[in-house]
Amino acid sequence: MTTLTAVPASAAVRRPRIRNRYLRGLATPRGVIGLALVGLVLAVGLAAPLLTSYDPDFQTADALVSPGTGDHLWGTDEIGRDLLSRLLYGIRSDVLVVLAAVPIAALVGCGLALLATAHRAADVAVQRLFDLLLSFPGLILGLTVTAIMGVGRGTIIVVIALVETPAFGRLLRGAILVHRDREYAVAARVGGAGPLRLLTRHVLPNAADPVVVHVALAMSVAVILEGAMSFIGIGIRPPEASLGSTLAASRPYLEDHPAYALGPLAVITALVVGLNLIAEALNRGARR
Amino acid sequence: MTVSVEKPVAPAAAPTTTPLLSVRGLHVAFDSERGPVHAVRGVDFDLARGETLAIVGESGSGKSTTALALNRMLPAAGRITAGSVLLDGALDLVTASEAELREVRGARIGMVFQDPMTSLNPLLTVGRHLDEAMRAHGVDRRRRTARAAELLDLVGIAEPAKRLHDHPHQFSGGMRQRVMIALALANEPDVLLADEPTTALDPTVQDQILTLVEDLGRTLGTATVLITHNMGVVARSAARVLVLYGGRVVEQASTAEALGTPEHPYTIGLLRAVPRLDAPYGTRLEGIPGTPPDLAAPPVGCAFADRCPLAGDRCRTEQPPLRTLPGGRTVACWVEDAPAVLTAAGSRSAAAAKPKAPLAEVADAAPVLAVSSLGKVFRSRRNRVVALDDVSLELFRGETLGVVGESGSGKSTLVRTLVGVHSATSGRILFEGRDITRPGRADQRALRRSVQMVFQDPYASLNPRLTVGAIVADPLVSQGIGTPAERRRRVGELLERVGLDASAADRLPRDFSGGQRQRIGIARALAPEPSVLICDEPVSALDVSVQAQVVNLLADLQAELGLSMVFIAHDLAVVRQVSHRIAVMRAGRVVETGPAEELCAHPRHPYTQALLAAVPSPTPVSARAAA
Amino acid sequence: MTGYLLRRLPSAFGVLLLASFAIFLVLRAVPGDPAETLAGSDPSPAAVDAIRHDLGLDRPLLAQYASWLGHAVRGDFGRSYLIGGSVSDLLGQRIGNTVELTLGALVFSVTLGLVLGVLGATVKNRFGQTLLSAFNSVSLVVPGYVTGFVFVFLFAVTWQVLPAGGHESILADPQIGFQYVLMPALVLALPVSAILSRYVKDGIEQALSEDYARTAKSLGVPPRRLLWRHALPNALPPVLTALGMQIGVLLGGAVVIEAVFAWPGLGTLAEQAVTRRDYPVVQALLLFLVAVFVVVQLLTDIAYALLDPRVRLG
Repeated sequence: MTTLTAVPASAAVRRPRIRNRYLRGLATPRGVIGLALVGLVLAVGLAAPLLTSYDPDFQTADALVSPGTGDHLWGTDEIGRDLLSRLLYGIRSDVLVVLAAVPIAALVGCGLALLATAHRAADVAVQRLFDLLLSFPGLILGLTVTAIMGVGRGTIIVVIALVETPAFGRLLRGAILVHRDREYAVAARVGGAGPLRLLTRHVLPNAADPVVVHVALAMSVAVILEGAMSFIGIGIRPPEASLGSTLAASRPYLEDHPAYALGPLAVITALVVGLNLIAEALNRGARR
Repeated sequence: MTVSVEKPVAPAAAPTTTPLLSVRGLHVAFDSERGPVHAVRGVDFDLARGETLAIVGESGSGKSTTALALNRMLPAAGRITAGSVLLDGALDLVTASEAELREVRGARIGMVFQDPMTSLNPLLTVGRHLDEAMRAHGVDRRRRTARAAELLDLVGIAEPAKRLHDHPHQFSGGMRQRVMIALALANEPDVLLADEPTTALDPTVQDQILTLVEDLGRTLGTATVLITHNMGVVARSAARVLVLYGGRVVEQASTAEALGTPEHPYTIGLLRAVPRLDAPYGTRLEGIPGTPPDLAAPPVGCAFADRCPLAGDRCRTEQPPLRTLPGGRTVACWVEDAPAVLTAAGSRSAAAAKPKAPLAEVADAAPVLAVSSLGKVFRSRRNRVVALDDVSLELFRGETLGVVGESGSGKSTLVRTLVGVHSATSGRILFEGRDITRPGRADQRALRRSVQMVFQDPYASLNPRLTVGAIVADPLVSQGIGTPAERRRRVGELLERVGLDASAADRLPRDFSGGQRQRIGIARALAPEPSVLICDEPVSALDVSVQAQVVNLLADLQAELGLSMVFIAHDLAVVRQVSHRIAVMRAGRVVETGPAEELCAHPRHPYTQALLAAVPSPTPVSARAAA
Repeated sequence: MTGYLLRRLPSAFGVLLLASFAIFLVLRAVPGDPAETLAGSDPSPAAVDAIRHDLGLDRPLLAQYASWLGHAVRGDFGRSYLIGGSVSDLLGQRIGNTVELTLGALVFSVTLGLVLGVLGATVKNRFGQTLLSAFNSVSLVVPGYVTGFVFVFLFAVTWQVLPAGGHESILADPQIGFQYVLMPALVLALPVSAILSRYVKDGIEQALSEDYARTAKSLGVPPRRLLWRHALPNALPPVLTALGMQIGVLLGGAVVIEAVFAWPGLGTLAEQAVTRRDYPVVQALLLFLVAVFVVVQLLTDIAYALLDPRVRLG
C-alpha cells in the first residue's frame, strides 16, 4: 500500500468566509448595488402612507403643477392628482402583481419539470405545452389572454405566470436531466439511493442554480411586462395608479412637464436594472 | 510488432551544423485565479533536420505547453516569460512579429493535434481545409486544386478527388487524423509538431497513424516532435526522447538509452509504473507515491524531490542543472548514480511484492455473477443501437475478470446493465444463483449491498456539493446501515484503507487530485462491504504513475477482502496486470475469453491478435531486437 | 435541399391550420356574448337573436370555422362587431405601417447585433470592452417604452432634430419617412440587437477557442480570414435561431412602441379590439401573427440548412 497521500495545503486552507454560494455572490459590488436599488424602491412603496399625505386618486384644483411648487413635492397631473402619491401607490400595485405572479410561475414551472422528469409520457405533454407557450412573445400572449379574460389585475398575473412558467420549467427540467446522467448520480443509484433520495440529495442541489438565478430575471421580466400592458391600456387601468398607466398618461406633457414621466421611468429602470444586477451576482456566485 | 531496422539514429554525428530548432531557457506561465501557473520552467533542447524527437511526460509536465510555445500557439491565458526559440539559428520565434510567425506556421512548422473529431472545421469541406492551408502561403489556385487531391492520396485516403468535397463529419476519427496530417504537411514544413496525435484513437487505428507519420517523415525529410504520455509510442516512433517533469527537462537521451538504462529517478519510476505485456505475469507495478507539484507555487529545488526516494537536503533547496553524461545524454539530478542506488533500494521492494496469488480451484464452484445471452438495445426516435449482443460471461468468487475493448465495444454498457443502471433487453443475469435481470425490491436491496461500482471519471463521479465524508457514507445512509456515529467511524476507516487521511472526510472533492478522488470513489464502493466490485475504466483518466498506485490498491483490496472483481479497460496491458481471466469485447459481443496470461500469450481470435499487436511496448526497439 | 423543403413545407402548413382552428375555438369558447354586447342596454331577446343570426353565431361551430377560414384565405375577415366596417379595411393600412416599423427594427437589430457582436469579440482593450458590454447590458434590460421616452425627450424635445411621433409614408417621401421611422425602429431594435450581439460575440469567441480555429492558426491563416471565413460562419446558426424567435418579440414590442410614438399601426387597434372583445378583429390579428411566425420559422430552418452541412446532408 502506498503512503498516506497528502492534500496540497494551498488548496485546503482557503475556504471562503461566506459559505452559502448565493450569499457570497450577493456580497459583491454588483449584488450590493442591485439589492440597494430594489430595496429602495420596495421601501418607499411600503412606506407610501408615511411619505405622502395625499390620496393617489384625490383630485385637487391645481392641474399640472411643477415639482417643488405649492404643496405637491413632485407636482400634479392633468386632473390635479398628486404625482408622488400616484408614483408610490403605483409601486405598490406593481410589486403586488410581480410578487403574486413570479412565485406561481416558479412553483408551477418547477412542479411540471419534476413531473416531466419522472414520467416519459408526462414529459412529452409538458414539453409540448412549454413549446406552445414559448412560441408566444410576452406581449402577444398578453393581448390574447386579455381578449379571453378581460382587462384586470388577475389577467396580468395570469399572463406573467404563463410567460414565466415554461422558462422555469425548462431550466429545471434541463438541469435535472443533465445532472441525473452525471456519473455521481449514477454512483448514488448504485449505492442504493432511491428516486426520492437521488433527487433531493444529489440532483436538485446541483440543478437548482439556474432556477434561483432565474427568479430575479423573471421578476425583471414581470416588471417590464406589467408596465407594458398597463402602458398600452390592457393592464391596470386608470383611475387606479400604476407605473405603466401613469407613464402613458404623461406622454402628451413630456415637453412642458417632464417630471410627470420621470417618476415612473426612474422607478421602472431602477427595478429592472437592480433585478438584473442581482441575477448576475447570483449567477457568478453559483459558478464559483 | 513489426521489425523496425531503419530507425533514424540520434544526430550525434553532426554537431557542427546549426540545429533546425534551438530552444533555450523557455519559460511559460498561465494566468489563473490563483496567480500565474509556471507550466514550463526553463526547457532547453535542439532539434536536428529529419530527426524524430519525443517529448514525454505526464499531465502537468509542460510537454504540450512546450510544443504550443514553439510557434507561439499558446491559448490567451498563456505567455512566454523568458527564453528563445531559434529557427535555423536565425529567427527567434519568441520575439518574431505576428507577420513573421504567420510565415512560419504551416510553411516551416506544421502541427497535428490530439482530437481529430474537433480539430477540423465542421462547416468546411476537406478540400477547403487543404485549400485554406496552401492559400495562406501564397500557392496559386490551380496548383492548390491539383495538390489537394495529391495530399489526400499521400495520407492514404481512398478516392481522394471525390472525398475532397466531403465534410469532416463524413469521415471516421482515424480518417480525420489522416486529413489533419495532410493539412500539416500541405506546405512541406521542416518540422512537424504532433501533440498526442494518437491518444484519442483506438489502439488499432493508433498504430496506423504512427506508421503514417513515420513513413511521411522519412520520405519528406521532415523533423518530427512527438508529444506523448505513452512510453510505448516513444519506443515505437522516436529516435531521441526528452523527459519532462514539473515544467523542466529531467532527462534527455536516445530512446534506447532513456528506456533501457534510465538515469533520472523519475524516468526510472515512470518506466516501472508502466504496465507491460512482456513482463512476467503477476509482476507488481510500482507506482510513484505522491502527486505532481503545484506549479502555481513551484518548488525551489528539484520538482521531483517530494516523490523521490533518493531526495536529500540539496534536492529540496537547489534546482539540479542538466549534467551531460558520456555519449551526449543529459540528466538533471544531484544524485550521481541514481540507477544503482535505486536498484539497491528497489530489490527490497521487489522482494516484498508478492506475485499474484494463484486463484483457488474454481472449476466446480458456482459463479457469483453469471450473464447469459445478455442483449441491450438503445432505441431513440430515429435509430436503434445494439450495444450488447448475446453476451455470456461468468465471474467466480475471488476472481478478477478483465474486460477489454475499444470505444463503442459495449463494455461500459455491460457493467451498467450488471449493476442495474440500464435494464437488459434480453438474456439473464444471475447473482449467486438468483435471477436479478429484473430485480424485485428485496433482490434490489441485496444487490446494492453486494455489488458496488468504481467509475471512470474521478471528477464527474463525485457530487461536488457534498463533503468527502458524506460521499463515502452515502451508500450507508441510502441503505440504512449503521447509526450516524458508526458511519462516521466507518468513513474514517475506509479513507485510511484506501490510503487517505481520515481528516479528508470534512473536505470537498475539489480539494483533491484525480488519483485521490479515485481513492475516494473506491472507499465509497467499499462502504457497504460488497462481495463484488465492478470497476469501469477506473484508471484510464489517470497518469501512469498514479494509475499504478490505484491498480495496486485495487489488487490489494481484492486479495485482502476476497472480492470478486470485474475490471474494465481499453488498455490490455493494465487489464492483464490485474486480471485472472480476460474477456475481449468488440461491437457488443465477447469475441474471446480465457486466462489472462494464456490469452495475451496465445490469442486465438484475430481481433485479439490485432489488439495485442497494436499495443506499443515501452521497450526500445534495439533492446527488443537483442532479446 | 429540395427534399429538405418538401419535408418541411407540409408541417408548416399543418401548424398554420391547427393554429387557426385553435384561435377560432378559444375566442369562441370565452364567456360573454358579443350579440348581447352589440344589442345595447336591455335588448329584447328577439333583437339579440337577430343580431346573432346576422353574425352567423347560431350555426354549428365547425361550419362557422369552415366559413370563417374560407373567407379568411380570400382576405375577408368579416365585419368588426364594435368599430364597424370590414376587418380587412381596418387592418389594411395599419398592417403596412406595423410591418414597416418591424422591418426597420429588424434591419437595425441585425446590423447593430452583427457590428457590436464582432466588435465585442475582437476589441481587446479594457476600456472598449467595458463600454461595449455596458451599452449591451443597458440595451438589453431597459424596456423599450423607457428608452422611447428618453429618446423623445432628447431628440425631439431638447435637441429637436427628429419628430416626437407620427408617421409619414417612407415610400412617398423616403427622406421624411425615414425621419419618422428612425427613432421608433431604433428603440424597438435595441433590446433585440443586444441579444443578437451577445449570440454573435459568444459564437465567435466559442469558435475561436475551438480546436479547429487552432488548426487554422497553426497553418498560418491570417487573423482576419480566421475571423470572417472560419469563425463567423460557425457563430451564425445560433444567431439565426435567436433572430427567428426575436421577430415575434419585435412584433409584440411594436404594439407598445407605436403607443409611445403615436405610430398608426396595429397597436391601438389591437388594444381596442382586445379590451372590447371584438372577435373578428382579434382573430384576424392573431392569424396574421401566426402566419408571420410560421413563415419566419420556415425561413430560419431553410437558412440553417443552407449554413450547416450537417443539417442539410444529415
